[in-house]
Amino acid sequence: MSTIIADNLTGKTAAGNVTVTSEGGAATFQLQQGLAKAWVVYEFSSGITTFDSFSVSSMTDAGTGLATVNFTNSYGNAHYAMAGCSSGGTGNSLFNIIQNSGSSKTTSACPMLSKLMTDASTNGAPHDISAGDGEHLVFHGDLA
Amino acid sequence: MAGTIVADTLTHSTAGSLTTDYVVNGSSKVWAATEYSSGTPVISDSLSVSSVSDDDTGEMTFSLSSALSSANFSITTGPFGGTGAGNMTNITWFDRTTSAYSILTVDNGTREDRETCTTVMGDLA
Repeated sequence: MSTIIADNLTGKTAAGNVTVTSEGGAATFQLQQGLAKAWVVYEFSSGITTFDSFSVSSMTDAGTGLATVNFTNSYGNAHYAMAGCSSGGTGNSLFNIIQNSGSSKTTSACPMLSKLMTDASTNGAPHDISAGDGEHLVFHGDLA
Repeated sequence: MAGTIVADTLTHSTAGSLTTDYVVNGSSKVWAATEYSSGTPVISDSLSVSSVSDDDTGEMTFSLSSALSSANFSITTGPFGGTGAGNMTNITWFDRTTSAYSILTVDNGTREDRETCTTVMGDLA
């Protein structure tokens, strides 16, 4: 078994391209592009409480159910991919988290919207979700 | 000439160690952000997606540049929508092979063409 002790990994031919051999050995993929560039776990509790995160400089409370994720490192473009999951109990309430179409997604921040679906009157309404650990997000894309 | 390092562990001076299977197994193999142009889904940015096809309203299929070793890979999604009550966008996957996966976007119970984000975790062939 061998160990590499290093603080930085940099491609030799192109600094931003370190190639990794696939599990099956039939393909290679670019290490940098496959890595999650940021993730965060938060809930709405007297503002926003962040439980843990990576490469997230701060969270902004933008209103009921609204949170902005501010990144430590900016992306090369605003077309990065977000994936998320809301926590919740076993009752009839369903929480969901989506990217907020009412606010601009930028290279340095992503607007998120938490919603609660319970019945016809509140279906899909913005909601400050604080059940469990709240909201879980991960971001993939190209950093600047 | 590019160099190759064969190693089982990466050790950072302060952040700890990571066995390289986490690098290989834990990296996303596919991700994609899409938007619509004239009713057709287009890829805004992606990793390892060769093309996206417009299958029906709210339906699209991503063809992969590199095949996965099995069709049991994980697909996670990032929907897009507004604050209005009832404005509830969801994305579900409904088909996947080792070289493609298909998703459906629904807004408040109705198929709609919407922006999407998807991420795939799994083993490449």
